[in-house]
This record gives sequence, C-alpha cells and structure tokens, in this order.
Amino acid sequence: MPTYLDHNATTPLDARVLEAMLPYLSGPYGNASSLHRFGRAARDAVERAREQVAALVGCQPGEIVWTSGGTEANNLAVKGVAAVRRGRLLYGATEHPAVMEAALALAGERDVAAVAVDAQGIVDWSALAAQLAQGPVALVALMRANNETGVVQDLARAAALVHEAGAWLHVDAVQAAGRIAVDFRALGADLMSLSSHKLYGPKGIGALVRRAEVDLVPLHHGGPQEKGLRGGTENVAAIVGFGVAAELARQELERRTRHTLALRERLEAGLATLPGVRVFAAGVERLPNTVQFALPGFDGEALLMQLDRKGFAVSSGSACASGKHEPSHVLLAMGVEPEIARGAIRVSLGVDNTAEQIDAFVETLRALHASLSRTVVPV
Amino acid sequence: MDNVFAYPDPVWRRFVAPARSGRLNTADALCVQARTPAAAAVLELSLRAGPPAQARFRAFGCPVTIAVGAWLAEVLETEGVAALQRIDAAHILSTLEIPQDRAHCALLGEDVVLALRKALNPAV
Amino acid sequence: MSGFIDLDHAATTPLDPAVRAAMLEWLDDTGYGNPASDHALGRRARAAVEAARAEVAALIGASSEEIIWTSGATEANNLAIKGALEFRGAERAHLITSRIEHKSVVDTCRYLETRGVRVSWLDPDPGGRIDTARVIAALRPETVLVSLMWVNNETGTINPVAELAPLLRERGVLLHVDAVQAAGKLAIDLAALPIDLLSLSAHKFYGPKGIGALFVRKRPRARLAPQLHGGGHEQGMRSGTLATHQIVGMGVAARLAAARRAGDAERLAALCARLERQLTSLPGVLRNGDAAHAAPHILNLSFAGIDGESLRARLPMLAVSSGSACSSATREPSYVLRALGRDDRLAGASLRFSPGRATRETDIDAAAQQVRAAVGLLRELAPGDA
Repeated sequence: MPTYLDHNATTPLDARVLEAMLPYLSGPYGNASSLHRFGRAARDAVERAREQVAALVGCQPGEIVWTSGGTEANNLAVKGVAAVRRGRLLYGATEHPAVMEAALALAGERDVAAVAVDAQGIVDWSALAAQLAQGPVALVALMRANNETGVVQDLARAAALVHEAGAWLHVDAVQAAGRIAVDFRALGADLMSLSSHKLYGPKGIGALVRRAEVDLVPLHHGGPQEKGLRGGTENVAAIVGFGVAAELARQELERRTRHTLALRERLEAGLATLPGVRVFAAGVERLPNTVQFALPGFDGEALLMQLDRKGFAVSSGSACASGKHEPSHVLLAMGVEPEIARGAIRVSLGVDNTAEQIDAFVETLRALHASLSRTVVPV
Repeated sequence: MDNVFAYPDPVWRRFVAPARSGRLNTADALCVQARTPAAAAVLELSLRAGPPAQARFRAFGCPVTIAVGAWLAEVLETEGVAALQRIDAAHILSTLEIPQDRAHCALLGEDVVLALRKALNPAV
Repeated sequence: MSGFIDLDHAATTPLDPAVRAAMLEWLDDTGYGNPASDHALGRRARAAVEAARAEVAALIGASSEEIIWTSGATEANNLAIKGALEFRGAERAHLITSRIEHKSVVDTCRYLETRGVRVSWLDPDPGGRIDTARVIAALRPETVLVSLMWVNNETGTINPVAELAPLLRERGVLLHVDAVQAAGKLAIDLAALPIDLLSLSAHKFYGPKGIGALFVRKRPRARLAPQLHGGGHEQGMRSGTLATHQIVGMGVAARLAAARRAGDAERLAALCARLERQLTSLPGVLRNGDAAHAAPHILNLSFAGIDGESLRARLPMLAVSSGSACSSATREPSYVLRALGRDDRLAGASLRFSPGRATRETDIDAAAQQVRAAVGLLRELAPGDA
C-alpha cells in the first residue's frame, strides 16, 4: 500500500460516510423529485444534508445549491454571475483553473483580469483596489486557501473592498472547508464553492453557496431542482455522503487540524535538513496539511516518478488532466523562476497519515536527493 | 389504504371510504351542482329535506373535493337542513383541516350550500 | 417493501447488484485515487475509468474516445446543444427541436432563444412522433443542429431517428439525440447511424445517479465549446474530477444493458401489452403514443371521467408517474400530452407505467386490479355530466 500524501487531490472516503450512503445507493428511495413516500424520504435526506453542509460553512441551508463538484460550482459562480451582470471579472492570479479558465472563457465578451499576488502568494490588496477603481466590476474571485501552496488568504478586507466597488465576491473554499474554519457569513462572501471529495466525502458532489440576492443564470437548464438553478435528478446518495462528511469535518476540525499541522511541521523540519530545499510561502499562514516545496536543480517529474516507485503518492501541483508538464501558474504568479517551479512537489496530508510515514518520506527524499543526477531542467 | 400524499386526516378518512355517494332520484329530492371554472372540480348534492334529512353526493375532482362532498352529505343527514345556515367556506376549511392551497375546494362546498339554501327557499 | 409495486422504471431504476458490488470496490480504502493523479493510486482509478468508458462505448457502437463523462443526461443535453451552438456562434444561428423533448432540452433551447438563437419547435403528430419530413422542411441555411429524443420519456413513442440521421448528415446539419430512454431498450449502433451527439443517463439502466455520458463523434468531428472549464479533463470538453465509483457503475450497467437488451425488450413489451389489455378493457381508457412505434418499457394511458390526483391517491402501493418525473412537483398537466392533443383534464388523469427487470406478471396483474378498482370507484363517484 502506498503512503498517500496527496489529500488535496482527493481524500479517501470516511467509513462512516460510506455507511450513511449505502441505504441510499440501492434502497427503494427512488427519485427525490417524485411525490410518493420514497421520494419524500429521499427529499428529507437531501434537506438534512443541506443543513449539515450549511453548519460547516456558516450559511443558511437555503443558500446551498448542489452541484456535481467544485469545478461545476466555480463555473456556475463565474459564468452564472457574468451572464446577468455587466462589468469586468477579476480573479486572483493563483486561483484554481476551474475559476481562472471559467473567467478566461468569457474573455472574448468582456474584460477579464488577474489580481496580482506577492512572492508569498498573498493578494496584493492595493493592486486590487486600483483595479476595482478602473471601472465597473461584476465579480471578484479570491480563493480562501490555495490548492498547491496551501496559502490561506486573509479575506477580511476583501468583502468590504469588493462590495464598495459594487461587485460580488466569490470565494473558492474547496480546499479550505474542513481544514480551517470557514464562515460564509463572516467572510462577507456572496458566493462560495465547496467539494465533497476534499473532506473525506464521495466524489461527484459539491455545492455552490449563494446569497439569495445573487442572481445567476444556471449552467444546467431543465428541471426545477435547486430552485431552478441546477436541473437534473438529485444524486441522493452522494448528497447524503457530503452531508455526513461535512458534519464530521465540523465536529473533528480541531483534531484534524492539530494532527495534520503536527505532521506538517515534522515534515518541514525534515525538509530543512535537505540541502537547498525551498518551501514556498513558508512565511505566511498555510493550510495545516499542505507543503509545496522544490529541490532546485531537480527534474520534478523524475522525482515524482521515483517517489511513486518508492510508494509515496504526492503531486507537483493540481491534479489536472492536461498532462502538460508546465510550471504551475500559482508559483509563476508568485515570481518563482520557471525552472524551480517545474521541480515543485506538493505534499498534502490527511487524518490517516502518521509520523512514521513522514519520517520515511523524508528519508526517501534524502536518499533520492543523494542519488539522482542533478540535471538542470531544459528550459 | 396508505395516505402517501399526506392529506389531512379528516379529508383522507372520507376519501378512502366515501359514504353516502350517489344520487337521490325521487320527485321530492332536490339536486344542485357547483363547478369550478373549467370544471376542474364538480360537486353535486341531492337532498330530501325530511325530517329526517337524506343526502347523497357525487364529486369529480381531487381528494379534497370528494371529502367535502362526503362531509356535506354527512352533516345534512346527521344535523338536518338547519345545518346549511351555519356552513360557509371558512367552516369547511377548518373542520376538514384543508390547507390554504386547496381553499377553492372549500369554496366549491360553499357554492353547493348556497345553491341548496336557494333551492329550499326559492323566495329568499 | 412488501406489496409495493414499482412501475416507474422510466423515472429511475434500482442499482443492479453487480453494479453496486463494482462501485463499492471504488468506495473503499484502495479505490479513492483521483483518476487525474500521476501516481499508482491515480493510475489505478484511471484504468477503471477507461475500462468503463469502453463499456459505455460498446453499448452504443462508439469508440472510447467518443465518450465524454457528464454528471447526468441533463448536463449531457446542455453540453451538446449549448456546446454546438456556442462553437458555431449564435449569430444568425438556427436550431430545430420538438415541443415534447425532455425539460433539459426544452429549457436549454429556450435559454438559447433568449441569447438570439432562432429555434423551430416542431409539433408531434397525434401519435407523439416527430415526422421526418417536418424536420427537413424546417431546415434553413443557418440551421446548426437538430435535437430530437429517440424515445419520448412520457409516451414511449419512438422517433424516426434512423431515417432522419442520414438525411441530416447529407445536409451538413448536426444531429443530437437524447437517448436516455432508448439505451438498453433499443439497439443503438452509432457505427452504422450518422448521429453526431447522443446523451445517456446511467440511472435509467440500473446504474447510479449522478453520472451520464455524451457521445461526441470523432469522424466527422462534432465540435463543441466546453461548458465546464478547469483542468481540461475529457479532452478539454468537460473539466472536473471524475468520480471513479460512479463511472465504474455506469460501465458495468452499460455492459449488462448491452447483454440483456434483446431479452429485456421482449419481456418488457409483453408486460406492457399484458397491462394494456387489462386496462383498456375498461371504457374510456386512451393510449397516449403511437402503438406501432412504441418502446418496450413505457405505457401511457389516460383515464376519462376522473381526476388524476384522486386516481393516484387511491394507488398508494403503486409507483407510477404522471408527467415526467422532473416536473411532477408542479401540478401542471404534462406538456407532452397536451401537445398530443389531450385536454388538461385527460392529460392530468394519465399514468405512465414502466415495468423493469424485476417486474413479474403477478405485479402487472395486481397493478391492473388496483387501477381498475380505483378508476371504477372514482367513476362511480362522479356525476354523470362531470
């Protein structure tokens, strides 16, 4: 069994979540949209899950729109708002592709621009203020925590700035929910995206949290589900799973944070003993479970493959399907040199990881560091 | 029979086993009918004033409509035609615990009551 | 649930036990890898995804690379229609569809109308079929796409898709077919039929909810503008982490559907015929949909002289639909039946029966008996001139 250190890509399903899902996977619970008794039981389960997710993120149950995942939620937020509001779209330079590409897809019809970050990956607030002052803005998208570096954005001032300029604020909380406290209301966000499979829930389900005042054009037309905002038969089992996962995440947040943070610090201490290691955004608040680092001069892909062979599942950055070996846009936006960015490794820990695994990983890195030929990555 | 669509109990009881359905055909029987627009619901009451009063109902429409008909026939037979004086839509609504979105069924019942009153006292 | 009779398989089907078992393997502590991850766990998941893709492709005579995973048929329909129109550009674009498509197609086309696309809404014939000649007659130089369902979800009527496909190919017009009710019931061979885009939904053929697929032809290439952007998954056509367990489930369900299709179709047709015989022996029972072009698993009947809600209330042990499952929350009479010429009252007093793999003749007989009793009582109750 490999040591799994890639929890930001996805997490294993919690056994308690699976147990909750099973009756809805193959029970007589039919279609939550049907009228008879089993439809009602399914509908009740869906509403209970809504409450559970709402409790995790500090919103009202009625503000939750189920989606097929975080990507859909981000697309719905960006495109859904863009379809009803004039003005530019601004997105943080380190946003997830699901936000960035959704915004860029609209670049033909309107102005779309990135908001710069500093070398630590923190939003440049004065740059944002200047951009907001340039003219009408429909939406600003800023993630709560970055999937690669783990950088946690302090969005306390974001809502005020954004709202003063008359724009909506969308917060991608896909990586943050279940790892740090996330409060939709306190953030002042207008929209927020969530993904079940990042918090030990099933894949295939996510949510967009939306204040009632925010008008959206749906992505999926047809069917009255989700108040007409998202047509399609409800995936009851997945929704139930997401709800239970959210409840467990809320109840166990402190324990999970302590556990992963301790392991992260252990890992960072170990990394510090490797010559030349550079941890990105080392000086700012990051998710308790995430470290992205590089061993300069190393072929990142080769290192990943070696680690994989040694039984360690890690990644270089987002687990996206493009298959391109390009340096991550997140690190480039932080001003990291492309050759170094290409060598980046991301370790993202979970509740199932142990100190022994961390130590073994560090030792493996040390051995590889010693044995791998130091090839300069061709530019 | 299970009340899977969760109708109020007073409605459900009368819908499941509608008593006093039919039509009184004798010469001394009155028969009135009320319809909602587009005849989505039709309620018919036939009545022999007596005493003792004899009443039958027929109904086309949702379970609430049918329950209203059954209840009207029931009240007429147990309390006599004097009951007609105190029945209105609000009374039907509350007695049968009809939800607001079905208020039109109670109004239909009231229409039938008014028609019966008129038939009993044409001069009024 | 003893005594309960499920005749609503067109709305949704239970997981086949083999499907469930296969899915559970991917919900345990070895199957959770992200199929896009570049390590052993991820590769394992990816292999399972690709195996499932081949199984879905085989069900419809396509090749694996032509299958795009979606979260269901609603999304697949949205992607096909919006994707094709957006790729081509909405400027002076025209599309053809019917008035009786599934809500996901109707609402998508309506939305595109608000964005300036011209839409021709074809009426069905009294049997619920869309006539090929009418489609051809509606074509304009600017027509980009025709979207037509293979089997109507309410009536079970089969559209002349096989006849239409080559005619549209000749004229360079894309054809999108919502095959949600056709898959696993009718033989589908896209190697032989020039359909460009085709939507599938797993939970209609004993697979899980939350997963569907869109067939996107490679040769000639059907071009779509993606609707979900992000990591570039599914050849850039549909971004988003793939849910391995759901995809595996759809694959197994597709494999079983292909293997059982002919036998299922025969059995279901016989069950529907048995039910129809027992119910149309009552007076005032009308069949909705052309009997000569009927999918084996759907029977839609209107019952004159009674109220539909009262009918359904007297059938607590029977799962049936009136109108499409998606719109049964509102009490509006089915727009499909209205388009077939049924008035509000008849449309409202209609039931869609759809038996499934586990349905037995005894279930049909019991259902028929319950419906007859309910109809009989309600007709007794109704005034003669109602």
